[in-house]
Amino acid sequence: MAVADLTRAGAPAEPGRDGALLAVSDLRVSFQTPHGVVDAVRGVSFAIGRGETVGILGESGSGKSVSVGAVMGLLDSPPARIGGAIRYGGVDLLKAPVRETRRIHGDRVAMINQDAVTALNPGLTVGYQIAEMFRVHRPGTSRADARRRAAELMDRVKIPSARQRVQSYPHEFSGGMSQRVMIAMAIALEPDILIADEPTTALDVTVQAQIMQLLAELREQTGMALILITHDLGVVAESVARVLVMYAGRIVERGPTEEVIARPAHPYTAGLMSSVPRAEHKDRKLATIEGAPPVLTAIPPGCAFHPRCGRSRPVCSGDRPELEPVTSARDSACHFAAQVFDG
Amino acid sequence: MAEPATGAKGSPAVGEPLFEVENLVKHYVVRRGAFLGGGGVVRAVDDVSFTLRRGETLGIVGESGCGKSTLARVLLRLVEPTSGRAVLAGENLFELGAREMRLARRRLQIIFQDPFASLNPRMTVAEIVREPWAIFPGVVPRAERHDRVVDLLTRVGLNADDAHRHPHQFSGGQRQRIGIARSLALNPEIVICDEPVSALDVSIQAQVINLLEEIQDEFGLSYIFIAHDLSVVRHISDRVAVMYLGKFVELGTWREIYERPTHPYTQALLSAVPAIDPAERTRRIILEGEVPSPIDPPSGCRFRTRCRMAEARCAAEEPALVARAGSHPSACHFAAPAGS
Repeated sequence: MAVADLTRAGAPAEPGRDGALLAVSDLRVSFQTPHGVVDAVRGVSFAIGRGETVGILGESGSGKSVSVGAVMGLLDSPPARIGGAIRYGGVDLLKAPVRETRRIHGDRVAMINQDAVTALNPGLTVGYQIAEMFRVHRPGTSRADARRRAAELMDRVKIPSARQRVQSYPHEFSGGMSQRVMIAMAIALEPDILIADEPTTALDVTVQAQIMQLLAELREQTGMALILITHDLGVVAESVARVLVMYAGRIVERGPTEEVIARPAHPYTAGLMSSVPRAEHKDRKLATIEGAPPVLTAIPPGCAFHPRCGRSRPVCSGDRPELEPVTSARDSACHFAAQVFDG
Repeated sequence: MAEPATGAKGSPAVGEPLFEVENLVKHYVVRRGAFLGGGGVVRAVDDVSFTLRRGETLGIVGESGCGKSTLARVLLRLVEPTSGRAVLAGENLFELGAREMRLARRRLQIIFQDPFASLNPRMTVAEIVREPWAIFPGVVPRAERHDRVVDLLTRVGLNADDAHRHPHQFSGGQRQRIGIARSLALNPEIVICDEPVSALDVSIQAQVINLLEEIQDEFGLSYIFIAHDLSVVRHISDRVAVMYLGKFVELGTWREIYERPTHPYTQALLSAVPAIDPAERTRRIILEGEVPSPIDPPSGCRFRTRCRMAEARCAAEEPALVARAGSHPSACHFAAPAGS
């Protein structure tokens, strides 16, 4: 089957990163709106290898969700204008015809998102919706086989009494259980990469802990890679080996998660860290980042963060800093990255 | 029954009892629906008692459906309580007539979670901030109102020019500032903050938390601070109540709750929060299942269906919220610090 071939061939050489499964290069996404051109993603490059875990951390409007939307082919173009390249197994997902990208989207690269409850079709049983994955992507699968595998998957994502609940409708499921159904659908075809876009943001913290543990277990069993999109520093810290920090449509910092957290090399990352209330700062004022993220129709020139940055100098509004190495494993897009890194 | 004494240690600014809530109950009767199956009684808030002291911040944490937002609404009588008392300045708010209640709200204001839904889009910022004075004309003389609006706006970090703009021209964090300015217009004693920062990005959240702390000192406010974010509640609260299925399960100073929790639910809740610092990571207690329905909650202890310590006694006998394990009030028969 073509899909199997693609899986085997799924490690194309990517400049600078051997064995990358998915390579995004210079991705740019903009939207024409009545208020002007919204520059949502402005030159984002990253790659992910087999079994890797990468977090994309950012606040609203940082471009994190739009970036993965482009990877998953979820942006209608037009109105979105998309540039750059997204390569998976030798295929540029931005240029390949739909019959080729269909073998990748939802199959080799699957996605779950924040709003599991509305992502499910309320008129169909959850078992039917999971089984649909096989009927659509594996046309040879018999109906009985698809149903059996749907029940197995529900069991695998730890939905209690899975065999009975195959016949349940989405409204009979809580938010946490709906997210498990979405995970079951996402892992149905044993994807190489799971993209999880704020998978626990709508959930309570005890349910979040269950879902993050489930994702970690499934990753361990299947070896799939994980791209986790989140605004939550704690979730990033506990779940992914590498992190990309996004601000106003660009990656401003990246590196191994623990190192980035222990010693940020970009003032925005450092500011985010210190805005989080911690026990030892109970009696102090929280450090804040002044102002608010820019409106995406009017992104400041130079470094987009400069109007909010305590280290801002004239060069920051004149020259846009590129993502450059701070150490062998770390990159930062700041003219003063070395000083920030040294504290 | 009055709340068991805890004492807000380490909070010298905290003064005398200001607001006493006793045995507050809010039940909703749900009828049998075509799709939802059986009817019943939703026990949204079920026998909650506490005392708020002057200048204090009482944090209330809990997951969705625990009743924390219903509690806020009942205290303001935006919904009517089923039973109980809420005594402010010698008056039981629940016995007041509509007119008297309106007057009492001068002392008791609220800041809502959603700064997009809680501000009238047709009004200017000045009109929004000034609106409470239409009901309480005596608070600020007419001639001083313009200046007062400007004072309030600048105090919350907005500009005088912003007075003539409309809510849609502001970001989420700025709208929350407008809501805060409005809540201050009547010089209240108590402000109920219902998830005031949970719709905001992390970097904006910190600004609003700092603002709330500053105005608390300046205006001598007491806060009832309701949130699901445990780190935010720890930062701002003197004391903290943990809510589960309509009940307070544990109540203590922030240190007692965060550093020496004795209720298994509090312990699980705290352990579930992802820690940024590897050093802060504790052994995670993963709870089984999800919160049961508040219609027909479990007998005895409501948490027993998910509790790793549950025994037969927990189904038979409801544990009272009383001081246990030589420490603060905890509603568990087996209350003990973690690991003991």
